[in-house]
Amino acid sequence: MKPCERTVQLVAASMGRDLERDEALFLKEHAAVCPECRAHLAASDTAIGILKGGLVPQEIDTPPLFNERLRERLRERAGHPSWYRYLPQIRFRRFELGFLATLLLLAVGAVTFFYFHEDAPQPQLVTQKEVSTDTPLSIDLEYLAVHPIAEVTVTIELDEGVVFHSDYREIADARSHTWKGRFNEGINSIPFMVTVEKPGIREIRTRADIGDWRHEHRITLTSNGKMLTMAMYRLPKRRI
Amino acid sequence: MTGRETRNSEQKELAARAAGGDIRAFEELIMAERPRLYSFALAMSGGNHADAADVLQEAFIKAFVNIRRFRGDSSFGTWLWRIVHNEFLNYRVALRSRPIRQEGDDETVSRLPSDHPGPAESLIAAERRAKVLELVALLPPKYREAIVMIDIREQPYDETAELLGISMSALKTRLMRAREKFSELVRKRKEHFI
Repeated sequence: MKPCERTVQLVAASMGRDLERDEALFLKEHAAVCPECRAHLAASDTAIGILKGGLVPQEIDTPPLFNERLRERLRERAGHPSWYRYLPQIRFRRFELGFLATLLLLAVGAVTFFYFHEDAPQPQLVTQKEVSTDTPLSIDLEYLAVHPIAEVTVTIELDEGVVFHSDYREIADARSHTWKGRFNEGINSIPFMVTVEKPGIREIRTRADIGDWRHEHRITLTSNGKMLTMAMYRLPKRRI
Repeated sequence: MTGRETRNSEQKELAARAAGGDIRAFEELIMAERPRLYSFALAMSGGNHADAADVLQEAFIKAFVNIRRFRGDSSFGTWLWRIVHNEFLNYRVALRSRPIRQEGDDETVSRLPSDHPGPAESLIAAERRAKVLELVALLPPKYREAIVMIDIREQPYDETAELLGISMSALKTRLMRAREKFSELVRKRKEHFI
């Protein structure tokens, strides 16, 4: 059961200011007759009571060697700047961008061709589609289970330049997500949406750990700024 | 020019130098915020110094790499806090997958100096602090950061809402839910507090 709306409003009001006398009196009297509100107020009081009182000092010096290690890493970064630090300075005209995208597509095609002609077990093309870059790309990871599986962990990792599409910032800002749950007999689908922020070739890597086996997908996203081509490959399963 | 405008102007200049690869300029920029950020990171990571240091290092490196994106619309401190906050959301899986605190681990909050140190501070009090932080670390990140910022660090509501990029009412709702969840954890783990 939820607490009454008035109680919730007053608890919210008490954050950042003292309650008026009549407001405090209302809470006291109401809590005496309403178990849900009493539990809600008790939870709030318990938390505040435990958490207040200098659990962690407001300022703490970083551990020894923290600054030295940071300086070392900053030097590495400053000495070997990422390419994308220069990207804002590069301005492509539209036909140049198209030409570069075509070159990239050809390069991917060549690499894929040679990769597929090795003797080792090969990735299989699962699905391929082309969509406009104006809309988020919806992707379904599908797993066929011949019997129910109690515990499955699926992890999705994104390259730089690809972001999860979600109204929730904690999802949209993350570089990877992990889903844990069970699979039913038949097809189990894990859908997610992404947006490609920058033209070029990006990759999404997924892995599903089922018992001792790892099932992986590689999803290649090739964007020329207008259209986005997605190709999903299933890698041979392997023992963890 | 007011003191704040002068400071913003200095920060923009330092940021411009840092964008050109000047490490000293970047260190100067982060110097003022570092102790506060480390305190926040430590509370967010359940008192685990190794995790707090890892997350803060990654956040500082990201800030350095992306320093060109700092345009001075907000203060550098606010910009940096947001990066640290995002880094904790990214690290949540990693942090949850490892034990929060091992017995005998001397990198825990029980070794932290208190705001009110003195002979009266007992080992029990220090242990209790560590255990409370362990419970805080079990909360989902968005609830954890609300509790860490408002209840533990006692940051102003308006400042916290701005840092988290949410409205005041959203922050209050989140905090209420966070306190409920924390209180549930306390009930379930009463032995922590005996």
